Amino acid sequence: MESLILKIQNYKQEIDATIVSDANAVEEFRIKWLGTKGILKSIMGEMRNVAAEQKKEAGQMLNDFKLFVEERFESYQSIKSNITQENINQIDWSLPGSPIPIGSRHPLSVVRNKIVSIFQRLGFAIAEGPEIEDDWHNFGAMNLPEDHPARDMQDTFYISQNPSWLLRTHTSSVQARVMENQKPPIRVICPGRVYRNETISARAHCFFHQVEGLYIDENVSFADLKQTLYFFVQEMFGKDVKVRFRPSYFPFTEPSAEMDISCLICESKGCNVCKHTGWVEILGSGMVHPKVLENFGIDSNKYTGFAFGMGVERICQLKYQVNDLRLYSQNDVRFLKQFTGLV
Amino acid sequence: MTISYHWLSEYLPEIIEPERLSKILTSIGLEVEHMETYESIKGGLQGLVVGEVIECEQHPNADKLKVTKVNIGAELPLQIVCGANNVAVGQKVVVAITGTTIYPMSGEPLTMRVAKIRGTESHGMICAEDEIGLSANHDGILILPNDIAPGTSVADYFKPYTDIIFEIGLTPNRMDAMSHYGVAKDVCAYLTHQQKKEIKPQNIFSNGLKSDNNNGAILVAIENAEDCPRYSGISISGITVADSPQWLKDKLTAIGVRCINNIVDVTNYVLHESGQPLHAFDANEIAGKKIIVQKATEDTLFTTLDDKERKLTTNDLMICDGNGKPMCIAGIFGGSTSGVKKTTTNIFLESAVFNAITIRKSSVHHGLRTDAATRFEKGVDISNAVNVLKRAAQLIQQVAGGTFSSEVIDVYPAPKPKTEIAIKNHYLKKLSGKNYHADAVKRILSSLGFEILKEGLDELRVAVPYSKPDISLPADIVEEILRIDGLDNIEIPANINITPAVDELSLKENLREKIANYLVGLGFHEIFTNSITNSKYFAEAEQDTLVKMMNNLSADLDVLRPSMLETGLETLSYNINRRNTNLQFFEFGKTYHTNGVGNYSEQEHIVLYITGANHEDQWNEKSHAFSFYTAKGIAHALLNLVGLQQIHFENDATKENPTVQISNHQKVLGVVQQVSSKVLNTFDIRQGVFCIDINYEMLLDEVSKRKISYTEVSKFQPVQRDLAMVVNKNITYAAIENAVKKTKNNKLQCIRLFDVFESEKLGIDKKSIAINFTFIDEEKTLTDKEIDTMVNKLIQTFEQELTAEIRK
Repeated sequence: MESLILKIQNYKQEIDATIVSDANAVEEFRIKWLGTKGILKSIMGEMRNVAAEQKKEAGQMLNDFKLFVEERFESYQSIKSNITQENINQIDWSLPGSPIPIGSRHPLSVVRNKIVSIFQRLGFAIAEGPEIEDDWHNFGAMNLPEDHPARDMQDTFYISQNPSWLLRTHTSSVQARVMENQKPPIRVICPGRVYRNETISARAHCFFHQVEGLYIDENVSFADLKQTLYFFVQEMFGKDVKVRFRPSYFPFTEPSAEMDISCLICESKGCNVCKHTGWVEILGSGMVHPKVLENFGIDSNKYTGFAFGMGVERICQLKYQVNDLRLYSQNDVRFLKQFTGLV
Repeated sequence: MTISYHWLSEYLPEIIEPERLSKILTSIGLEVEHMETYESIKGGLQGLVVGEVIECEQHPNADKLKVTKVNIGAELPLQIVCGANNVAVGQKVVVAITGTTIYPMSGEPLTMRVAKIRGTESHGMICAEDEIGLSANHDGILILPNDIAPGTSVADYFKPYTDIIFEIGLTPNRMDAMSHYGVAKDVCAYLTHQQKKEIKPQNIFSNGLKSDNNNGAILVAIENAEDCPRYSGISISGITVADSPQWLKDKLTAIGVRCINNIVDVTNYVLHESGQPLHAFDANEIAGKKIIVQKATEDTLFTTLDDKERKLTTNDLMICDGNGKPMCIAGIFGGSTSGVKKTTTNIFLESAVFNAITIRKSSVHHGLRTDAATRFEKGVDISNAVNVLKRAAQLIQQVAGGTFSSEVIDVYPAPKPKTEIAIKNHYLKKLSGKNYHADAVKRILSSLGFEILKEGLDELRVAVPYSKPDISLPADIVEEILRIDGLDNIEIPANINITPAVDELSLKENLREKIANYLVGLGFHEIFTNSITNSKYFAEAEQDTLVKMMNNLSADLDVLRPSMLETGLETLSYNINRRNTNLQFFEFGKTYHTNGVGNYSEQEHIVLYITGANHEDQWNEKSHAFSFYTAKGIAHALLNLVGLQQIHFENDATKENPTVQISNHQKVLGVVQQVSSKVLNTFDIRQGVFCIDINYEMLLDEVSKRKISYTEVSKFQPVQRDLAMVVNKNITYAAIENAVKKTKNNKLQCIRLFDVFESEKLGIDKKSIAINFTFIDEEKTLTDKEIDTMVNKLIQTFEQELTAEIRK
C-alpha cells in the first residue's frame, strides 16, 4: 500500500513535469499513461497485491489517479487545435518552427507562363505541334526552300532524308500547322521546345524554348504588330522600358523587324549583356510573308498578319541574369532554389 | 560585315559623326553590332613628342645609364635618364613625357611618371621603336631625321592610320549593302528622305577607259550560260607586282583583310568597295589566249591557291584556259599556278557573275567559304560588272603601272530584264498602318535605285535595281519604304481589336499548373532535362523504336529519349555528387518513339523523382526516409488532386524491381517504381530512388471525362470499429482488400490500415494487421447490433478467405 501511494505521488510529479506542447506529445502522453500497455493499466493491476482491508482505500486512490490522468489528458486536447494562455507561457518562441517542405517551379516555366498569359489577355489562344517535323512544315512552308541561304542560320538535326524528317528548329512550324487547319481570323501563341545542332556552351545549346505568335485577319498592319509587342514588353519588363524596332530579315515575314529593349542590367549605361550599346535584342517579328499565306491558301490581298518569336531562355536571362544556358538543364538544386519566389 | 568609317565617309556628301552614323545604319536595317577604334599603331602614338638631345652625361651612379637634357620645344629642357647605347647630343628622338601612355609591342601599356633612377630624377623616357609599338626593333632608341622641330607631335610625323570600325550584322537579304559603296547608297537614301532632297553618294565609276592596244586580247567562251550569265575582263600588260601603297594597305588592314601584293590588294579593295568579286589571272598562264567557262569533269584533281589538291565534281564551274585546263573554281577560289605571282607582268582581270546556287554547292562541298563565294551566293549586281572592272583596271594601273592591252571584253548573252513591281498605295497603308505621302514614297524608292516607270492613282510601277535581286513582291517594297522612313516612326494605335480566342488547350494548361503548384507545395523542384540522350541507356530490344539523329552532336547525345527516367537520374546523380542527397524533382516532358521513317509519336509525361529523406533531422521532427510507400502515397494524392477517385494499383510482376501500375477505371495511367540497383549503378547513384511516371495525355483524357457534382452530405454520423488479426506473412494487403470487397457491404465507407507488425511471439511466418472500418448509413443511424453483424461478416470472411486469426 505504501509503495502504491509513493508510486502515485511520483507519477503525479512526473505528469506535472511533462511539457506537452504539440499534438505528438499529446499522443505520446496518451500511449504512455492511458494506452493498453500504459502505466495506468499496469498500476491498476497492482490492486491484487493490496491487502483486502485496504482495497477500498486503494481503489479510491487509484480511481482518483485515473481521473487525474484523464483530466490532464482532456486538458491537453486543446493543444491539438488551439493555444491556451498557459501553453503560450510554456513556449520558447525562439525554437525553430517545424520544417515545412517547399519546392520551386523552373524559371523557364515561370517565364513561359508569363509570356503566354500576357498574350492570352490580348485574345491569343495556345497552339502546339510536334517536335519531330517534316521539312515542309519547318522550312518549305515557311518560305525556306532548299538551298535558301537562310537555312545556313539554322543547324538542323535530321532524323531522316528523302523523305526529310527533322527536329523542328523553331516553333514557326506550329504556325504552319495552325494555318493548315484554321481559317482566318487566326490569333495563336505557340510555346515549345526547339532544337539546333550546336555544340553545347554557355551561349548555345542543342535544345531551347521559344514562344511564337501569329495573328492573321483583314487589315492587320505593322502598326498593330508594334502595339501588341509594345504591350507585351511593358507587361513583361515594366512601364519604364524603352523599345526600338530595327529592320531585319526572316524568310517568313516581310517586312521584318527585330525588337530591342533598353538594357535592364546596366540601365542602358553599357555592359557586356548589351555589348555596350544600351540595347538588347529580345524578339524577331514581321508581317507574314505573302508566300507563306499563299502556301496555306490564304488570300494575301485580303488578309494580312503579323508573326513574332522569342526565346524563353533569352527573356529569362534578361530578367534574372542567368548568364549560362547550360544552367537551365543542369537542374542544380542550388540553382533551382533561387527561383522559389518567382511568380 | 566590317565597314570602315573613313572609307564609308569618302562616298558620303557630308560629314556624319560616327555615333550618329551608327544610329542611322541600325535604323535602316544595317545593325551596328559593335563599334571600335582601329589604330594601325596601338595608342596612335598619342602624347609622344619630338625632342632634341642637348646634353648627355654619364650617370653618376650607373655605368650603363646616361643623364640627358632634352629640348621638347618647351621653355625648359627635360632631364631624362636613358639606358640606350646610341643616345648622343644633337639627336632628334621620340620622348614620352610624364602623363603619356605608351603601348609597347609586347607587355602592358605604361604611363610615364617622374621617376628617380639611381638617385637621379627622370622626367620621361626616350623611346625605342618597340616601346611605342612602331616595330619589333629594339636596337637602341629611335633616331629621327634632323629636320623635325622639337615639340612636334610624333603622331603627326608618322601619321598612324586610325579609323572606326563598324561590325554590321548583315541580314542575308541585303546583298546590296555588302560593300562600302552599297552602304553609302543606303545612308544617302536615308539622308534624302530626311532632308527631302536628292543626296547621292560620290560617283566612283567612270566610263572612260581607253584601251592602249589589243595585243593581249583574250577570247571568252561560256559553255554554261545559266551558271555564268555574265563574264567581263580586260588584259593589262607590263605591270609591276609589288607591295601596295600605304593608303591601300591601311584601308584593307583596318577591315581585317591581309595584304598580299598590289594587284591582289586592288581586287580585294574593289570587292569591299563595290561588292563585286574580281579575279586576276597571270595572262601568261592562259594557254591559247582563251578562257572557257565550263563544268569540271568528275574526279579531276585541281590544286588551289592554298596548295591543297581537291577532287572536282561535275557541279564545279571552272574557269579554264584554251586547252580546257582548269585555272580557277569560278567565283570561289583560284588555282595555285594561274594566279598573280611576284614575277607576273601581264594579267587578265575578270569581273563576272555566277549562279548563286552553283557557287553555294561548290563552296560548301569544298569547304571554301571565301569572301567572293559568300557574295555570289547572295547575288551580285549583274549590271555593274563592267563598271567595276574598269574601276579596278584603272586602280591597278595607278598602283602597278602597265597598259590596257585589250578592249573591255563583255560576254552577256542574255541580258536580264529588270523586275517590275506595282505597289498599290492602299496595300502600303494596309501593311504598314501608316499613311505615306506619295512624294516621300517616290523619293525613297528613287534614292534606293528603283526606277519609277508609271504613276497611277493608287499605284506606282517601279523597276527593281539589279543590286536588289531579293526584291520580287510589293511586300518587299513596303519593307524598303518602312526601313528608310524608320520603323520607330510608325505610330501605335490607341485601341486594340481582339478576336475572342477559343482556347482548346486550357484544360491541359490549367491542369499542369495545378499539379505543378501542388508538387511545389510538397517540396518538389521542377526540372527541365535534355530530351536528347544516350542510346546506350536502352536495351537492345528498345533500339529499333528509338528516334535516332543522323547528325548527332556526340555519341552520348544521339537519340531522343524513349523514357523520362534516365535524364531524371542524370539530374539526381549530378546533385547527389554535389552533396545534395535529399531530392524531390518533377518534370513535364516528352518521350519519343518511332515505327519507321515518317512514323513518329511524342508522348507527354509528368514524372516525379524522389530520393533521400523529407528533410534533415530537426529538434521536434525527425526526418523520414522516402520509401516506395511515399511515392505510392504521392501518386495517390496526385490523382485525387485532379479529381480521379477510382484509383487502383496493380503489381507489375514482369519487373524485377518493385513496380506497380496506377490505373483509374481500369485504364493504366502510369507506374510507381523503385528504380533497380542495376540502373542506379549506371548513373553512379548509391541511394534508393523512387519514380512516378504518369502519361499526361491519358491523365488529361481521364480528367476531361470525370464529372463533379454535389451529393448531399450524410446527416448521420459514421461509426468506426477496429479489427486486429494475425495472418500468414505472404498475405498481401491487396488480398485483404479483396476479401473486404467480397462482403459487398455498401455501408462500409472506407477502411484504413493503421498497424502492421511482426514478432517472435506471433511466429516467424505470421504478421499482425490492424484495420479501422468506417460504417455509415445514409438513411439512419446504425445500431450496435447492425454494426456487430457487419463486423462479424468481415471476421468470417477473413477467417475463411485468409485463414486469419482475429485478435480479441
